[in-house]
Amino acid sequence: MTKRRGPPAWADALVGLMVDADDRENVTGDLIEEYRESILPAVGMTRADLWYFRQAFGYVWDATVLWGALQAVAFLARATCDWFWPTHDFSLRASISTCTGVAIGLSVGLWSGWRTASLRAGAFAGLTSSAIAAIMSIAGLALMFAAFHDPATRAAIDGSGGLSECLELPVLLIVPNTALGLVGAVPGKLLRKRLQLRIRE
Amino acid sequence: MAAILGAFEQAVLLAVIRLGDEAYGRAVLKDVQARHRQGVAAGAVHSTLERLQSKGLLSSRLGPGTVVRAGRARRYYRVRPEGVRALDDARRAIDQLWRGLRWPPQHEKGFA
Repeated sequence: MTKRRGPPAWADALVGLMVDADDRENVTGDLIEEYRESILPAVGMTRADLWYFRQAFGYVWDATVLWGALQAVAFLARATCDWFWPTHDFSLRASISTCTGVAIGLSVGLWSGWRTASLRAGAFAGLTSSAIAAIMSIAGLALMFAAFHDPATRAAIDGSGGLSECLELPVLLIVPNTALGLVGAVPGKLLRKRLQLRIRE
Repeated sequence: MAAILGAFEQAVLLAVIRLGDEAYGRAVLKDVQARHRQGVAAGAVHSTLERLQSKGLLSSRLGPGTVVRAGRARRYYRVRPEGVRALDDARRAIDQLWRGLRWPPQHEKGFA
């Protein structure tokens, strides 16, 4: 069996997926060079691979954490309304929060498609940002519930679908947000291509 | 005067100046790790280089790849005159903060 001299191919592809299309080659090249020249000889393959995963995770985190935070803020804002200003007619709130969620999901894809010129990057950014949003939302809900669990608030929570629905929803949103990321990446990628064509002309 | 550069941006710009014709991503990373912060991530350096370039403080060109990089191109950076001015402003701002200060500070009697 031939001994591998570079980082795992999937981790290399992951970094390539998350960086600007114009910087893809030089960024992944810098990482491979550092891996081969400095990290691998110093610490061996297992720890060198761990180093590479950490770097790859950093690129994914940098590209998606703000979108994830935005999604979490939107989700927690809706939960705050339902918990502290109870209502029987949720249709207006549902419309606003759905439109906001869809707009953010499409924007994640649009931005990623524009930046990376890749549809897969849009889907992956949608997946990752909504996973980050799920963790932040669940943590936020837990803190809110720990601070406010008086009978009136509990009744409002039950009236809006219950705590378990609140905790499940951010996780259930990961799949639609991945699809929205993919859809949003289509115009993002097209816009970038069109602008590059115009610059060349 | 433009916004004052952060400490990390200054470290990256100074590394680019120090490295001269050899200022590409990995070399800048090594320089920043050696002089500023040991555990700095490659992503932090790359995103800072990208940001400084979009601010017009750096220019770049692609160079040929090497075998050790799996043939992938290097991007070489150079500080533009705007970058030199921004570093100058940052240095002047720090000097201004320190001017007239007796160092180390004298402890006044009566304070714990």
